[in-house]
Amino acid sequence: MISCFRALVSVVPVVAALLPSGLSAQDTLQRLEKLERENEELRRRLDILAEEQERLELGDLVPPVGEGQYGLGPAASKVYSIQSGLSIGGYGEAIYRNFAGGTDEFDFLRAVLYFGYKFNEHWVFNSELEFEHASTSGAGSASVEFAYIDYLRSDEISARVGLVLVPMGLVNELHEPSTYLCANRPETELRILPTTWRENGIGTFGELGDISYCAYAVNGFDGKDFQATGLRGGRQKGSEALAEDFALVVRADWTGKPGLLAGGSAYMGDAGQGQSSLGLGDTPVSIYELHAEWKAGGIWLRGLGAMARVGDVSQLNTSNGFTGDESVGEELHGFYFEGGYDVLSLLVPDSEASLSPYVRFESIDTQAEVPAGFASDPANDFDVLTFGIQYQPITELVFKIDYADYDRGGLDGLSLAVGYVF
Amino acid sequence: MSPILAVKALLPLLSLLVFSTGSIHASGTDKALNSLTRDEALQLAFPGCRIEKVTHYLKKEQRKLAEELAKVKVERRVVHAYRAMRKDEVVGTAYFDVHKVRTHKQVVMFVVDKARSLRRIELLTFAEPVEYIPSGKWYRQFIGKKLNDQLSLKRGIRGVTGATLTARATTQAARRVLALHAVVEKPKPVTRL
Repeated sequence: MISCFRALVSVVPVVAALLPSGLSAQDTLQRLEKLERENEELRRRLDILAEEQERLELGDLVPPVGEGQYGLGPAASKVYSIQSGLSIGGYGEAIYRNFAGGTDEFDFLRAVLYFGYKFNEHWVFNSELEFEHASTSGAGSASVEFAYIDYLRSDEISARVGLVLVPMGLVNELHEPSTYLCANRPETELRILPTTWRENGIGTFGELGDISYCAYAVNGFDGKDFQATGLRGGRQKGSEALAEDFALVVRADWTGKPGLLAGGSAYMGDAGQGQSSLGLGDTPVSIYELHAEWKAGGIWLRGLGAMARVGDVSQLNTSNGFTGDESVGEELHGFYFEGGYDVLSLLVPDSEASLSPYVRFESIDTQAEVPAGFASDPANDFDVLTFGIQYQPITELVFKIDYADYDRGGLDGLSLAVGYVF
Repeated sequence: MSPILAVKALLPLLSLLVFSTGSIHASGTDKALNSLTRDEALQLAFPGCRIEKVTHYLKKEQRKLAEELAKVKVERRVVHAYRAMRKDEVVGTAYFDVHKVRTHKQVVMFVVDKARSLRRIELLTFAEPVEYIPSGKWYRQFIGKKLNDQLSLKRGIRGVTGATLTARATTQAARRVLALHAVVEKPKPVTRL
């Protein structure tokens, strides 16, 4: 107000100078009053424009027309505050592998699109459509990796139904290339927790204080496709899934300290799927895993241990004609630790870019126990040491180069990967 | 396990879903599944206070200064500040920062106290899937933070895997708000007697 008055005072001499010499003091006063009214009107209009500008930014959060507060004028329209319910995202990765003693390959591993739609504040659809290995005329495939409907009841409890990611491990639910170190996913999270593992199901999820949880009932594995190398083949991926046997999977994570995630999950269910005519038993499967992650400053540490037990393996082996060391494991276990450090957090802390040398050690055995009369293949009990470096010029892009050294069971090799997420 | 048995095992949780009376609105710094309005957020942050809205129109140099202080983009030249008054004293100032996370905008209210540190942070709107919202605990890291090197995902703010883009956008917004506050609420010069 004071500044307005000062402005007016400064204008008075100018106005007076412009006035015809014959004007009276009364005329001058009238003109000043007129200028004051115009100035007031300009301020009012400016306030309206400022409110409109805020409404454009905040949308529905600002009270609707007619409920203006703080003495501001009503808005002309609120149609622009209506938000689109469609959400689009995606990620992808390409990898070049130069194997020692093997055929090198260069693969556009994944191109993925996320589509979500928020119907209203309670009902949300989310999906992931994945194209693997670039072309279905080659080795590629197109899959729906998840497609579910959420009912968002509250922070504490909500529900999900559809094709869901089985909530186990560190990678299965968060598998964009920027969410883990190394060019390749850990073997334990390929063979025992078979990422990307999705099944049709229903369940609940939520947060209770510092603990987030979820509990799903999903269709079980198809045990017929288990291999000596792991459970990966048993995934049904929601495609005309045999649903004679279901499984329960529960998970809990503690996030009480920012940067720290610690949790575990358990899976219990049969994988026989009523295929007794093929010689399969109930084939009960139980999987347990514990995991932790620590991120602070430039440090990024992750670790996971998993164990699985499979029943009725003798019948399964007989049904599949497996002999000798081809047996499916009755017990499978594996663990890994990986760590990286962003050196740019020290050198250029203001930069969005990161440059992280990393290392991963992993040990896995997919035939830790086999039924009597069968043997374990030593190639399925191996350790891997991977070391490399990743560069992220921006958060959404990652370039990785690393070397994996297997003690047995795999091909040593150099991997170069590029990944993106948006 | 038969399908019926599996769903029966989930029944206790599903019952909670149907019969629980939990609020669907955010409170404090918890996850916001649904929107708070601007005025609800201000009421939450400043119960019993009188709110004065002040709109600042930045000069080009002020916008540039804010950008230099924040070390992130500052595009707005119209800044709305909500001062909470108790009697004649300012107890805090709220700003609403709007920025995009993936496809949709996120609206976050930051409350700056008299010491120019963040006193409260409230997520008002988040239209992306809930997986991309960090936990309430994560948001609480910002409380007490000032505009310095610690307000960074490489220093004093811990990252969150899976919600990286949200974490980055929120951290940048906090820096932007504190920088704008510093520009529009310059400390009064001390008069020497």
